[in-house]
This record gives sequence, structure tokens and C-alpha cells, in this order.
Amino acid sequence: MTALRQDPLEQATERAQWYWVSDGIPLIVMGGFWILWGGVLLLPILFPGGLTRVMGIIVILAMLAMALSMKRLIHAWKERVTVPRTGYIELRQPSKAIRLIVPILAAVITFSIALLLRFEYRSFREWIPLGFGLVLAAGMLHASWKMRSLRLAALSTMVAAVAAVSFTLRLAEILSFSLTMLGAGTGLVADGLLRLQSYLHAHPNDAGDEQ
Amino acid sequence: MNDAVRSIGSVDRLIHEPGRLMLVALLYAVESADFLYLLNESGMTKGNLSSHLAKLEDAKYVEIVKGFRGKIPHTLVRLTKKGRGAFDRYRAQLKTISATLESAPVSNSE
Repeated sequence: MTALRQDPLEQATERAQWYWVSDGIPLIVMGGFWILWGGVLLLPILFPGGLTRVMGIIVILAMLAMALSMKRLIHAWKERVTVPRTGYIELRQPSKAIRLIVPILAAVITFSIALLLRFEYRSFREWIPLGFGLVLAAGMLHASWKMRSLRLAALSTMVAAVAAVSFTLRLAEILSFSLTMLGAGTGLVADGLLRLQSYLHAHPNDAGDEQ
Repeated sequence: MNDAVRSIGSVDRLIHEPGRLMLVALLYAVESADFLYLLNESGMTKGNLSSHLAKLEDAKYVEIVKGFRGKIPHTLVRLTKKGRGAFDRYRAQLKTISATLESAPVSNSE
């Protein structure tokens, strides 16, 4: 009944969004990059000393390179796996303004949470990783609701828990960031692999003569 | 004659056809889609889908890029700006018509 009452256009949009992640590939790639980012953030902790500034530049460059290559990697993988089986779609991209506003908004919310929750016995900097974890968890919860995915909802809870535990244990800020990213990345990769497995099972490669 | 009622006759017939309406709605939701995706989502036959896409392409509502992935033909379809505009107008017209019909008095058959 719900399907009949839903606006067909809204349904087509939701279905396209669901289709984009149904093969698990975007989740695996995104999760993989988060794991790498988490790992890269650990570098200054693993190699402390005079190289801090060089490490900082390496971290920023590595993160930028990964972010820029993420879309290409997803496309290349989808071309091999998804296109021959169920076809290809390119989702509509949000406007430049929205793409700019979202990360700024996320940063503002992160700092606001840190500011709101601040107590005397903890510095502002210590609250930032917790704020980041909560914003990340909220984003995942939103995605889980849009995708009707219980696994992603559980993952968002896990991310919030990792951030909270890191905070409680009074870990260094960078270590807290790193653990939150590693936790979120691992969960995303696991979820993506499960999706990919069921996708491949449901769609054996019996490509026709035209795609 | 009521203008709203008269507008029923002015709907875009190219989009109004159910098969093409389905395709335009599918394409409206994405940036682009390939032939296989449209085939799976619409449930049409290949011939039917090709025929509808050709009509939409003739009207410049869609842009079709044909190529190859390896040795397999690959057709990518995207709604043009003109096509998006036409679909927006069509939806607006349908809403007006729907409102007109809802406000019309109901005849008592008994």
C-alpha cells in the first residue's frame, strides 16, 4: 500500500540510490579509504619526532589523493562487476553549493557538540574526536534509514561507541580520530562484502548482447 | 470552456505515453543510465525500449551515446535539459488537471 501511495518519482530516486550501493562496491571502497585514512593518521604516533611537519604534509596529500581516486576506483570496479549484470547508472550529483556546505556544516556541528559538552576537567580539543564520531554515526544512521539497512544502523551505533570509549579512555585526539575511522571503515567494508556476495549470488554473469 | 479542463488536451503526448513516461521518470531520477538498467527497471522488451528511446531522442528529450565495452555494445542514455524541462511542465500540468478533476462536482448516478 505504501508503495502505491509513494510518489513514483520519489520511489525512482530512492531505488536509484539503493541500486548504486546494492552491489556493495561503494561501501567497500569508501570503507577501505577510511581504513587507510585511519592508518595514515597513526603515522605521526608511530613515528614521532622531528618529522612531524613532513608527516603532516604526507597525511594531507595522501588523504587528498585517496579522495580524488575514490570515484574512479568505484567506476572501474562497477564496470567489471555491475555493468555486465544489471546495468549502470550515474547518480545525480548535488549542486556545488551543497557539496561545499555539507562538510562545513559537519565541522560546525562537530565543534558545537564539543563546545556544548565541554566540562572543566576536559579540554575543548579532547571533545572534538567525540563530536566527530557522533556526527559520523549520525550520518551513517541517516544513510541506514534511507537504505533501510539494519546493518548500517548497527554500524553507526558501533562508531558512536568507539568514539565514546576512546573519549572515556582519554586517548590522544589523533588516536581517537584514527580508531573511529578504522572502526567505521572496517564495518563499511564488512557490510559491503556481504552485499557484494548476495548481489553476485542473485545476479550470475549472464550478460546479453547489449548493455 | 474552463482553461484548466482545456489544458488536459495540451499535455505533452510524447511523454504522456505510459512506456515513455516510465522511461522519462527513471531517467529523471539519475544523471544517466544504460540500456540494461532501463530494460531491467522498466520490464520492457528490447525492441519496445529501443523504439521509445528513439522517439525521445528524435524530440531531443534524451541523449544517447553508443559505444562498446570490450566487444559488447553499450548504450548510455541521459535526459537532456529540454527533456527535464518537458517532464517538469508535464508534472505541473498533471497536478493542475488532478486538482481540477477533484474540485469537479460528483454526479449522482441514482
